[in-house]
Amino acid sequence: MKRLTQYSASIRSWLAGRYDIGAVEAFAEEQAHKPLPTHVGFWHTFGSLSLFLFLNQVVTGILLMIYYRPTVDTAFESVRFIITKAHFGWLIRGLHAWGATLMILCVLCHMLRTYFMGAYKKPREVTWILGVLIFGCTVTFGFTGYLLPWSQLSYWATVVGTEITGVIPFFGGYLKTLLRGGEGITGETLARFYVLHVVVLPWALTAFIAVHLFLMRVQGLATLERVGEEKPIPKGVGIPFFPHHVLKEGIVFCLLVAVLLTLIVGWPIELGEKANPLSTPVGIKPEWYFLPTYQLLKYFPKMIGLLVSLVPPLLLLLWPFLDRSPERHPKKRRVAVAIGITALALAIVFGVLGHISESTRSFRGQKYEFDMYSVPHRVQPGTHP
Amino acid sequence: MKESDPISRRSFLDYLLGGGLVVWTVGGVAPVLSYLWPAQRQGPGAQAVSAGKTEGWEAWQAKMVAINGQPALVLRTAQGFRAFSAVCTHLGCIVQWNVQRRQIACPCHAGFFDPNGRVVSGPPPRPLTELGVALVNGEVMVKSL
Amino acid sequence: MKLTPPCSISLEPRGEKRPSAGQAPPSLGFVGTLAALIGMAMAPARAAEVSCLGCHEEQQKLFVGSAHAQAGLSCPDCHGGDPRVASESAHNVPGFKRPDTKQEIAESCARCHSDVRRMNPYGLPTDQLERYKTSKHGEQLFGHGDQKVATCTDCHGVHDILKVRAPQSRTHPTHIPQTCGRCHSDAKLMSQYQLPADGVAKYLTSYHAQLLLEKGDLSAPSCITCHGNHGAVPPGAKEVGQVCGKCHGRQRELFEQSPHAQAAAAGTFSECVSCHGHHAIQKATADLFAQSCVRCHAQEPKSLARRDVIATLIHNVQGAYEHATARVKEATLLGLATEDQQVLLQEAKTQLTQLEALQHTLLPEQMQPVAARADGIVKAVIAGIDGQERNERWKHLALAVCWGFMLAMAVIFWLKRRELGQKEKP
Repeated sequence: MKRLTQYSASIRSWLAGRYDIGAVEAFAEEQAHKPLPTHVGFWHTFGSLSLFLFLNQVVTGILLMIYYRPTVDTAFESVRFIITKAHFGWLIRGLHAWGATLMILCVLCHMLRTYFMGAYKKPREVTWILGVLIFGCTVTFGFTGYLLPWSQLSYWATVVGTEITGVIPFFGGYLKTLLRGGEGITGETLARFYVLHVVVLPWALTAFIAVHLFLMRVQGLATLERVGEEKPIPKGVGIPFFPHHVLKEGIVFCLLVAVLLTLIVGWPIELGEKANPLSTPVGIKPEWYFLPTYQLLKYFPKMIGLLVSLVPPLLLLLWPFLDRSPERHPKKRRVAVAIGITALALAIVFGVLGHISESTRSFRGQKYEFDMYSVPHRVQPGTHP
Repeated sequence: MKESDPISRRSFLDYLLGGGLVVWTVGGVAPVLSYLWPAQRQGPGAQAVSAGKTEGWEAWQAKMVAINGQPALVLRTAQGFRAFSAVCTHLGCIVQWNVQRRQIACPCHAGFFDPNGRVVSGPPPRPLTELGVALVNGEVMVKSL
Repeated sequence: MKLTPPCSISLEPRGEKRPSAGQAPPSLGFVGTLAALIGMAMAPARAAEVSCLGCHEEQQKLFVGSAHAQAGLSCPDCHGGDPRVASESAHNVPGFKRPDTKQEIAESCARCHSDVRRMNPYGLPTDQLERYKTSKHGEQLFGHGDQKVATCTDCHGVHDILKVRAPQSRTHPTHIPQTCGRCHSDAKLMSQYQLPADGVAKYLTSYHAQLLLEKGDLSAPSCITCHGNHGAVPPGAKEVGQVCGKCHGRQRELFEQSPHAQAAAAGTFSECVSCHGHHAIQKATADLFAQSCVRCHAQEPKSLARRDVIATLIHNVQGAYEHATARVKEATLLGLATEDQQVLLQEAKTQLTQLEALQHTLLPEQMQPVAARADGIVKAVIAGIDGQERNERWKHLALAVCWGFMLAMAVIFWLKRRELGQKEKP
């Protein structure tokens, strides 16, 4: 033990002889013990949970790439190999697949927290915009990653998902061809999505997260005070980031890992059948985070639907410039809170509608068939199934 | 009790914390190392299965191999190697090579196929499904076409 | 060959000249009939049709899509007559004929269809008329002049004859039951010959019909597969084994080893038919043991005991195989690796199918080794799946441990945090 201390001291002196190590240490010290505002609670842990899940995606993603082969002939087989043959492959793939879903959930919760606590207001508009971009990246990750197993569901969800870009006037057709690497979904599409998923998006997301974190650290967490009236947190009043807040994160983190493992073991994401371009399975639906948009698009003619579905992301991106009231506390921002709750409710309603559309469900002993607009039709007993 | 002995309680908690973190790390690293260790000689991309070396494989001799969970019959003819799905097109029995007749025979209903997989006699309605054969470094590799 | 002279002279030059009809004028110094026919041959085929078409539009419509029209034949090839004349006088040419009796129809078709040279390019056999004469239809027609029996046109059609393998053809395998049934389902007609009229109806309920008509398996038998087509006769009791054995060769071979083979040779047992029936043959199931054996062996406990041994053997292997198949399917859906088990299942199925064929020997001692082999394979399949499912259970156990650990860690974090809070307060 003593010798270890000796070694570390000599390494430190070696570094100190070359770099201004004192400044680095002081910075680290300051960041570690920076007091956080007193309202920082469990809702504030979603940011770091998202970060943890991102790191989980990076590590498991790298591990999956070891056995994954991105060609039409081998993609499905290699994923099956990972699940069935590779040691703990089911765990790695489960961590990646379920981790992705939880990551999107955590990022969403983090955004909701930021929205309702008014943390996006001056001077943190850029942090918010970066956050929206991070969300966009995460969802695109989900979209590109969904195709990679080359299963029936992933193939046809991608067919439907890329089809929509063709609706954009003038350059929609070109965009679709560019995205698909040809007319249909082929090995070319797989290669493109693979490159996006494992090279382009990870670096883009890493850069966004780095700046996002840097700004958050430099500017500090927002309090609930009015814009321009934030007082610096006096020593001894705020919650120290380390160890107090980190311990709180530790608790949530433990629960998250337990939930993640439960999902992997209890509800494994099935691989299904290999993609067959000649037979469309019934009831193709996108992943849950696309469901609200998917359902919304059905109620409008294609072009208008696209414009309508572009509104929420644009609103999200520009929100700090639209909401100019200086208040932060949710109780003093009735309108903004109402808008937020309405948007959330709408997303949930459209999501549920999307989920039950084109399916048959029993309700109080009566069978109902939901059409593509999720309008229920009673199924008379004895007629077609 | 709590006040009289705060230091030992604290250090106990710290030991637990440290131990827990060590277990955590090991629990994370062990599956990863195990995952990295090759599960079998052939990776996932190798759907082509080796049927053995060409040398010592006489003409008009056949071997059976399993490809993607399906039996396959690999035959060396005078011209070269041919491979067929060994599942009879009649009722799905596994066909066998009959050296005397130089035909592929289904034991179930006496269906016979010629070395090209075509039906010679018996009830099979279709020829056998042909598989692809490639010679790689003196090894006969079979894969589905 | 003896029935052709007058017509074959008139037809042959025409057929041979046709390719060069436009260029080389044939020798015109023949007798009148010949000259007229040769002249006809020189005229484009359309002209021939057009002149008959004036009155015979109906027939022309039918003829257009027929195999004969595709082969380049036209009206005079069968009917004679002068196609250049567009009035009734066209019929007033020597050699014009309208086949009236069924014998004449058969012979008229045979002019070409019994001619080896003429049929060679089409790869068609030329023995249809000879075979027909050996059939019940032919015997009745040529022996007794019976005009009610089927001749060529009754099955093949008249003007609209299609190739046998053409999907709409009356003689396509899937249409044979209907074609034969036109007469053989007619109870009034059949009663005149003391023939049953329910053969086709029974056949339509059979497994053979299901394969042929529902699954479109053209290798499944229709009426003519067993009865013959041109030489149609009902197979006699002695020949039934041969007829069924054309497809079910292995079963027949095995049947030869059975005690029933002697009974069949002695004529007391109709091979195949005694157990399986004929027209309404169903897919053989275990029910057959209950229904068929007792017909002869109801009073013989020894024979019935042997039946039970055989039935149980098959029943057990079938059950085990189905159980294993269900397990493998279930495991595959759960995402387990079942490739090896699927190969084993395939092998088990081979053994089972062999076992089902082997029962025709009626020798349990021959069946037992195969049943044992199948049983062993099925056990290996189940063991493999069980092993994999044990792994799944292990996963759940590990999950419980993980939960315990994670909760413990969460509690430790929480305690640590509370401790820090307490330390700072005073």
